[in-house]
Amino acid sequence: MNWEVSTMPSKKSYFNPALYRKNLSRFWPLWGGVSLVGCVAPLYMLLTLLSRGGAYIQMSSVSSSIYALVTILIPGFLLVYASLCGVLTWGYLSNARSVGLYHTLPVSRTCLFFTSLASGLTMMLLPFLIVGTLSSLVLLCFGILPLKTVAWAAVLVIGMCVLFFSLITLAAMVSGNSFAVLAFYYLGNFLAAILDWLLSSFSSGFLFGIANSYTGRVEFFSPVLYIYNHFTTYYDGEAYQLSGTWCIGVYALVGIVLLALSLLLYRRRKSESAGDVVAQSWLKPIFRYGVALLSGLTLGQVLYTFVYTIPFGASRYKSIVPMAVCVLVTALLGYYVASMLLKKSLRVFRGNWQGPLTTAAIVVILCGCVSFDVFGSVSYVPDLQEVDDVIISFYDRSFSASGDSRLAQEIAAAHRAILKDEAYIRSMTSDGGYAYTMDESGVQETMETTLYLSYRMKDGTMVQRRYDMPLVRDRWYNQPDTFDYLLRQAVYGPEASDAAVTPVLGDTLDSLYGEYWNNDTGDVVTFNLTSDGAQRIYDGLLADAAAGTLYDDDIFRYDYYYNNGISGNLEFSFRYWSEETMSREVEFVRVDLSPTMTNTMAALKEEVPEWFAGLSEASQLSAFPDTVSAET
Amino acid sequence: MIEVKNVVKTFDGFRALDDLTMTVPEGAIYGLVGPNGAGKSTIIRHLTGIYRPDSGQVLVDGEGVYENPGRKALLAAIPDDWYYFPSASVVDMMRFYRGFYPRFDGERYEKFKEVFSIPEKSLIRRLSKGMQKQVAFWLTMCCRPKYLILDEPVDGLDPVMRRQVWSLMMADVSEYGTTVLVSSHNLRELEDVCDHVGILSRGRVLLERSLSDLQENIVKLQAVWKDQEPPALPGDLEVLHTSHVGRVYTYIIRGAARVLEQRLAPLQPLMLEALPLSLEEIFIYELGGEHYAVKEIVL
Repeated sequence: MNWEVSTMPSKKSYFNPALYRKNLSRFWPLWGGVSLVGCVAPLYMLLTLLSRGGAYIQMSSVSSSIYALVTILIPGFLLVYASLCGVLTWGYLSNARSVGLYHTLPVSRTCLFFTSLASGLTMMLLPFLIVGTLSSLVLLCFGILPLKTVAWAAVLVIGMCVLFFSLITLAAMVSGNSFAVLAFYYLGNFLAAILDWLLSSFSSGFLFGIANSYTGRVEFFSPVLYIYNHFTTYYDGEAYQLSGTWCIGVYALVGIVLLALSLLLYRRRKSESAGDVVAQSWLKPIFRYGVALLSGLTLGQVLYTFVYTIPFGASRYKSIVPMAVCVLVTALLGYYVASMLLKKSLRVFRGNWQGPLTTAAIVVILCGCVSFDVFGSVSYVPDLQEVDDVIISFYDRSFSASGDSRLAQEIAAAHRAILKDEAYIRSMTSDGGYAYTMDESGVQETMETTLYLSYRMKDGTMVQRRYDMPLVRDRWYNQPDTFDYLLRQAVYGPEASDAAVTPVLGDTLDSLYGEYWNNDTGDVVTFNLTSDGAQRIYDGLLADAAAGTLYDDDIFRYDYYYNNGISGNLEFSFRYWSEETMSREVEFVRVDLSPTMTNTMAALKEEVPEWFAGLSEASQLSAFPDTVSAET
Repeated sequence: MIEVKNVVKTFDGFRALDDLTMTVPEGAIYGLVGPNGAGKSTIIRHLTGIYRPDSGQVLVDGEGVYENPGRKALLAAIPDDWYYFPSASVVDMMRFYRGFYPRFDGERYEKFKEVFSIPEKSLIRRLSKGMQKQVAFWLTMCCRPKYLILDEPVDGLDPVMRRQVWSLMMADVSEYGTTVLVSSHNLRELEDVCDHVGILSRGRVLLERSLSDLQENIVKLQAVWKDQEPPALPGDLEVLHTSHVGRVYTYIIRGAARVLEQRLAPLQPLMLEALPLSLEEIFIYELGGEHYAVKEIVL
């Protein structure tokens, strides 16, 4: 018998129809069930259209609904659905018996990979195909099928399917245990963001001014977050459009690269790794020390709170030695847990001193780097030429300044002055509290507040700082070299006033929306003004900004927030044409009413008499002392 | 021919296969015997292309079997823990196998329906362990492999079905020249079917011979002597074991029966008879040094 001729299959086989069919038939409850649930959508659409006779639904609103689905619902759904499809498709790798069957079959691993990949992607796309086709038929029957939108949405869905299925495929190739595959997949989708937040949180405990906030610097590596933050819709004046579609394209390409990597890993993978938490031997140390690091950063900070902060009292800055001990203990815990998972045994303690020693070294290096600020984060003030804009939030003021503006220079100067006075500030705030003091006549001399700075860099990254600082009245008004004085200049000075009332892009004042407190009725009253009325009040605002009466800079005053009963805010709408979005956009200028705004209030009294009428007598007298007393 | 050359396989520092070398001649029924943990299943997983050796070679018809679909198409295997899809019936699994093995014989499948008497639409997971094993045989035999590799194949089968399965296998060997490698931890089971035997212990092949070589090379002789004391046997005879019950002496001697009878005839025994040794006895005497291995496979 000539065995060779009759049994030799093609060596270049990349697809096996029997396996493909088997996968789809085995897992039909998943994709069939999802399709069935999805079919509620076209049914609902049909019934709605029938009840309305299809009369009131525009094609543009159908388009915007499709875009809303693609940007809001589908990414989250695909994140979960891909994990289920992937765990089922690659599940055979997690079981020693099934891996034995599959790898005995006369096909190459490449063939198994591509066939399983094809069946997994088919399972992901089938519900969209079924629901999409039915929905399109319904819309077509009523003549409101936006063909271009549907085609575009289909492309984007395919891109996202490739991304999420590639991620679960990669997870399946590095692990031999279905639960671990799911854990790696979900962790992988958020790991960069989690690490960002953890390191920020950890650093902020030691480093002066480092904000305990998510920076988003590495968000691209957390795809689902990045997609939700960058893949959105906007209105161009006529219809809703998609923005950030490029990221889906880039992610789809990344997905293809990850699939190629997965294939390489699969070809190297040992069949005997079925059931192992980590199936690739070179990944085991990374897993071990990765778990140790994550455990140290998360549980270490929790442990510090329990064993140090609560018994010894809270402080703005943490103590490095106790924190290092807490991180080390929890990192070692993580290390041993990871070792137990890898060995599938509790006996991991004996004869293993290199691992714990390495973990300790990592913790010491980490704490050392953070404590001694080896990357110079504390002293870093961004070069304004690289800054797009800077957002400042201080006391009752929050605004942004363009990187090339004089105001940004004032802010940067104040920032540098703060850094220069680090020792002074830390000494004043390190005991966990700062007393408000008053002089003999009852005037407040010192106070404490927090300054937030966010530099939005031209490369898209953010540099964020937070300073808890003491302020001294004398320095605030009289000592020009102090950060107190420079901050007052930056936040309440003429540049800030001018920036607060001048729109960046808006060139045509459209309208004014205002709110104020009516003293008689106790209600918040709103009003709208257009064209001339709005312009007159805006002119008053500009006059106040020029006269330096826009803000009350005496934040030490005990009745600063009382404002003599004058409470309200104004929101001016400015229109402009955006070359970026090719549409008309609106920019808002918002200001809070302050008793110092004499010109604005005068215009407001003329244009909105009921506002003046709603003030208490004391407030009227305070706001218009000359007029009111003369009338009286 | 299947050739395994100096294969080493280590699992987490444990050397499961330790420079293992063996050869399965074409058309042979090769019994692989060894105690639990000797490495039988591990070498079978190498032979079927599941495992990749750390070093050494596993060749089927001169080519490595790992990631070689052409060579794997020549093989079909029944592992000790045969896998089937949880929701699959016999016919479902048949379709699956048919999609992979180009020589899958549909007619044979129909013919075996009567032999195995298992409803083809019944879910495999609902069948007894013995019936599942029958399904495995049914489908594997339909693949018409050149090399049939069986790991503990008749575990769980009743005696009638064991006989049936062996007879089907033997028929394939005689009709198509199929080569069979069968592993077991029980030597007695293989004695009737194998023509080649290899003994594994601690990841190595201790001994590998054809059954005829073994049986021709070692003889059990029973002799009754005239005197109470037996005469001294010729010094060049390799006597492996001597025992006696009354005046009946039993010798295990290396050599051919006819030659030994001629050599002992001058000593004028009252009775001299050459008896066949069971495979079990041959291994006991051949592998006297490997006490554990021998004890494990014959008890």
